[in-house]
Amino acid sequence: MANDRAQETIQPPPGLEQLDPLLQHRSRLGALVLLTSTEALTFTRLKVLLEETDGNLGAQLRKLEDAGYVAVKKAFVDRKPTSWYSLTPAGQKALKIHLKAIEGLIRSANV
Amino acid sequence: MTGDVQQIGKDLEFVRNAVSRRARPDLGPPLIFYLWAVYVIVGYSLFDLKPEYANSFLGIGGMVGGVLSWVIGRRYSHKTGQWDRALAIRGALHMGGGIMLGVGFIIALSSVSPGFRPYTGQVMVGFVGLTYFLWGVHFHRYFMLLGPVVMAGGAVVGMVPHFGWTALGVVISLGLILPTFFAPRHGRGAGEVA
Repeated sequence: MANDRAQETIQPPPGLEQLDPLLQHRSRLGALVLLTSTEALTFTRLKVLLEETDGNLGAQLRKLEDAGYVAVKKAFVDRKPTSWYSLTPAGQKALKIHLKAIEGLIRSANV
Repeated sequence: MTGDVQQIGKDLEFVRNAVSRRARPDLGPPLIFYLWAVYVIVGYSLFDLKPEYANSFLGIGGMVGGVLSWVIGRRYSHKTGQWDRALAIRGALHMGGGIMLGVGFIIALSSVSPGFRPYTGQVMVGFVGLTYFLWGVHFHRYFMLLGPVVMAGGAVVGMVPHFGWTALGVVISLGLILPTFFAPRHGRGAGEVA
């Protein structure tokens, strides 16, 4: 009986395992959420919206790119090099699962 | 556990702020408004000054204006760093659809009732006003004010003995230019090196 209770207490809350470690960084999560509602955003636009520094945002976006969550397209706008980021189907799926997991976690927290 | 949830709460707040920064209403490129202001003032003045050219100018100019608006909009989205093809298509279909509906209605009604023909210009202005109003409902609220003004202008223009169309053109043009001075625009100076 006591053993059962102990097992109950160490059971992870629903959704915890489904949290994507890559999306547990707010900038990466923010970037994916912003990209869901538009076809593509430039690096500068993401930087303004997320209020991040060049270096930090660049590193976070590279991680998302490496995971196949975002696609990057380089182009020239007014002779300036521009990086356009868009969400991939894998990124869309990962975000959906992650947000569902967050929802489950918050529900189970009872705060 | 509570700490985790609090951290998640903070992260979600951060994301919410980023999304709300993106969602700020944006009027779009002022050049499009200046383009249509010129189109309206020239086109409507022609009804008073050279009525034989008015319909051709408005028809051909409308199509050219539509293409130019698309090009200007695309350039603007490149400049601001935010490209949304679905939104652009929705906007084009909305404006183009409203105008085409008006043209279709006028052609249909003129063919069954020739007595309606002298009023086609006024009815078309009514459709333009309605399209502006619906643009205001779906895109930018300012047009919810301009739409009824245009519709009212279309209703009274026939009662004005002299230069009524020119006056209506001036009113609509001013209405188109006015918000470019006040409405917020995102991405000003968002030139990129990345």
